[in-house]
Amino acid sequence: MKQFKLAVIALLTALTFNACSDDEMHLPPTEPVGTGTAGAFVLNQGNIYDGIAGTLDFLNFSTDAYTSGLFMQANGVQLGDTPQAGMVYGSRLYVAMYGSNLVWCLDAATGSIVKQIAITSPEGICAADGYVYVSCNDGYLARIDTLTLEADEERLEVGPNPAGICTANGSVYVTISDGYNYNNEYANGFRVVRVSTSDFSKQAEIKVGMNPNIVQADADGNVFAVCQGNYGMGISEVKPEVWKILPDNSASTFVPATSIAIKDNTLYTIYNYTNYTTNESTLKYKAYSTQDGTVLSENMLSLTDLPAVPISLSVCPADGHIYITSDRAQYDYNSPGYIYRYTPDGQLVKRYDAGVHPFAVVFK
Amino acid sequence: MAVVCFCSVSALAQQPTDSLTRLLPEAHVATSRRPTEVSSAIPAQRFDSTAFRRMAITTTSDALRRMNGVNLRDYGGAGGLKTVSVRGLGAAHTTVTYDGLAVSNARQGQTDIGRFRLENLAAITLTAAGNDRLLTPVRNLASATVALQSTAAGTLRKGTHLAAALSQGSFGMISPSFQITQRAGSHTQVALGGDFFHARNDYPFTLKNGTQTTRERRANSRMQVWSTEANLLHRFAHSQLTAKASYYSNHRRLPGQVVLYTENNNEHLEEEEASAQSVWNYHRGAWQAFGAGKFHWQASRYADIDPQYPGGASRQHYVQREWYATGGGAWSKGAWSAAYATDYAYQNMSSNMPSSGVARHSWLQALSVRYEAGRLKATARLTGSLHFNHTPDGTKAARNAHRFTPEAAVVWRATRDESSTALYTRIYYKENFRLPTFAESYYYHLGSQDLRPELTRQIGAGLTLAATPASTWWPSLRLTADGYYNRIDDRITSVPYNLYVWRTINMGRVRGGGLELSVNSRWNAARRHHIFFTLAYTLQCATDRTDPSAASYGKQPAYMPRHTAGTTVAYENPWVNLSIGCTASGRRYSTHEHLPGTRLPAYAELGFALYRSFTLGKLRLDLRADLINALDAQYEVVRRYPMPGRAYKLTLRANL
Repeated sequence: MKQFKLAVIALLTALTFNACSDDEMHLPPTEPVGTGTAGAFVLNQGNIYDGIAGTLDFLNFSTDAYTSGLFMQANGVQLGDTPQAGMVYGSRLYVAMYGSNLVWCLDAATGSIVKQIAITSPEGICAADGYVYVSCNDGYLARIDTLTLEADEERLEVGPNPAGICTANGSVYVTISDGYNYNNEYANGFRVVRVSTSDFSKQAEIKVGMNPNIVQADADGNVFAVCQGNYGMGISEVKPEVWKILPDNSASTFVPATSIAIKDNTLYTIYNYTNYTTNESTLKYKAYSTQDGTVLSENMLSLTDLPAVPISLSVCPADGHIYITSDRAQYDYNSPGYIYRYTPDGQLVKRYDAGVHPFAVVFK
Repeated sequence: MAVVCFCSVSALAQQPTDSLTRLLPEAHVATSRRPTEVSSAIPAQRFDSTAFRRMAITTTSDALRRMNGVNLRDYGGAGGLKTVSVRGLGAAHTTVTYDGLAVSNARQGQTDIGRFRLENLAAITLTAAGNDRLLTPVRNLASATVALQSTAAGTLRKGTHLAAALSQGSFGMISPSFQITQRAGSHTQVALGGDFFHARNDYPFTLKNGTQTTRERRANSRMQVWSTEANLLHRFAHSQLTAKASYYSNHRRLPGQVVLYTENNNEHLEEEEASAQSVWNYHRGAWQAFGAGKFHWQASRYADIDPQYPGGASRQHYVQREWYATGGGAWSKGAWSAAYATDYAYQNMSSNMPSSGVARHSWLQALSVRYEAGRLKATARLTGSLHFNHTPDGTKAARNAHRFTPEAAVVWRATRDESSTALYTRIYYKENFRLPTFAESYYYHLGSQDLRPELTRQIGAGLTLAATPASTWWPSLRLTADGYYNRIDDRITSVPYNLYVWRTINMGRVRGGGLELSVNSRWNAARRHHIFFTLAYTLQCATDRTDPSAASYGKQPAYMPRHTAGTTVAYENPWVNLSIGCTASGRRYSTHEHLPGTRLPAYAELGFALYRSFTLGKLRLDLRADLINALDAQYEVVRRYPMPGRAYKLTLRANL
């Protein structure tokens, strides 16, 4: 397979090198991240256990047209396995492909491949100051120069099973979950590592709760990390909780949630928790103020149009619409899922048919 | 591995009329004594080593694929796991026996059939829905049983016999083996054998990715096996004692599934097994009895070396032990016979995982009654099972289970006894259940201690026609046709609760039916020119009946082809014998939901073999060349686990 991979890289670089090197010269040093004005990409994770590859879809906001399988259409090959996260930065879409050990750099306008960047077990992705940062589940933070599209030779060691990643306050925040160490109560995680974007060095380790993954920042530079706990399967139950990290690195528990999305100073949350020892389940959709944690809405979604099996939560930075990805039905992990789109006050706008296990919405 | 075949429990503990003759080679020989599978009240298929030779096959799984009703799950290559599911019941319902006693695996509930090399087998018998033998260990009464009988005859031979073999094949395969048999006294024989197998398994395959097609190779696929076996046979006046001790070790690397754009699989699996078993069979007048014991130890050490895991690797080590004893007696008077058998097994498992120290006691009993007179044979049997689960203090044990399961079978010979053409009709019903495996009960984040056993009900009817159309040129023709209907309730399935947590639950219900047809024929073209033909066709239709709102409802389960077929033509002659074989499967899906893009296309695999024996004084040499998958068909049995393409295998065997 290695020869094949090299052949693809060689082919793609040959095809795209001239075109993109010209463009690169005109790119501003700091590129805007996806604004959510043009549309949204959907990453469908597929199901690696059953050999279902991931797919990339696109929802065009101006026409409301939903394109399934954009990557295959644009490139004639499959996306690969287990897309985990993505982001639009400048004119490019970057997609972290955990199963296929690579980050795709795609033309955000067409979905066509600009470059295949080999990175081991990429999980989360964010960008700042001309670099794309990728958290790698094998313990590292990788950095890709968006001008050369080359990853740094040396990755920064951050801790076991880094998961979510975001930028704020001139830093990259990476959650360290130690998620594969569940037999030992995730003991070596419990932290968010703060990395300076100016010199790519570790600035601080901030203690948070058990098994943190999603991390997001609000308009004031406060960072929120979702600590998933132990699903009720440890020595004693540790429930999911969001921790709030202030710019001065002090951190404290904030509100309960399993998924979050932030727009301005509103924290949208899903609390979808099952204690797998007792099999008791709770599912809530609440909105809070990021400043003091006051509840802004007990039910941020219209109760008559709730998602079937929620997976991820995103809020469009442009119009505040809420996007929730969902499987088709409980236990059905091989059927195409849905994207639910709600207005900021929780009215269902539309349900779109997505691919298998839609995992993330990436705004363009 | 296997050296000398002594009578297995099942081989001796049967009808008084032919208790020992059953061991003699039987297939395709049109004599007045018909193979037992012909008159069996339940569907039974048997291939012996003579049949293997004529089938253009090289592995035990190839042989099973030529049988009706078999759905083989194969992860590809010599090192890929191979499990057998019969009539859509799932591999955990198939019991594999080796020389009469079950090969158990309480952790996974299924046996890797690739562990048994075809060269070491004298016969394979597949029975669905129980066992036609009245007196047999209770465990051998499974929903489906693959009975493997090791090589050589059950007869005492004079003096010393030596056999050595060497095989060499594609993808770095080499395998030497030897066996030595020594008569010790007038009623005793001992035998010792061993073999070694090494293969790189780095076979090429075609990878299709959208519009691109590339040629790749399997990597990290090496496998090395050592095995040895010692056997003892002693005959008393009315009974026979056999004993066997064996050791097996298999170090393999697992190539994992084919993942686009990357290849960094670094999984290793080391397996070791040691076992000792002894079987005593008694037969005198109207009485039969048997007693057997077995100790089986197996260790499995798995490592996935990857810095994502704590300590740089995920290591799962398991040691399983089993103490097993079985015994029973049968008595017959006139047309009536009755048998009682009982099994006791204690299985435990220790591990570096949280499930260490789990154990199970099982006590099984079976009471069977048979009426056999004239053209009718009717059998009724009731099996009672009791299972107690134990865990170390403080942890929850899996649910205990007890149940009575009935079965009944009737076979009637439609033709008159003295006629050379025999037509048998049969009808049978059987209930059975399987326990959750240790993995299903206890595996961290997955297992559930609340699982109920998975219940199967089978009903079927069939015909067998055995004829000698022309004693000179068409001495043997056998046709079978079987139809069946199955129900599986409380099917044990694992489902994801979220990305991190999967659980096993009882939630499946499957209904299935099928049709199996087979033809077995021999023609004598001229003196010493014989043509053999076999054909097996299976139609399997099953539907998921779990939840009408689910996408999988009403659909054929994953990996179950509707149509499968296998055929062989062999031409034996004084110069060089030729065999051509084919195995084919219709399309199937890798997902229960039949998601577009998960359809696996139909395939056919063609094989050729040339073989011949030479005799030089006391030395007999067997030479064989196999061309496997001659048309280089590229296919997958399990999605993303490509099967090998064209390959060869050369075998030289010397007997002295």
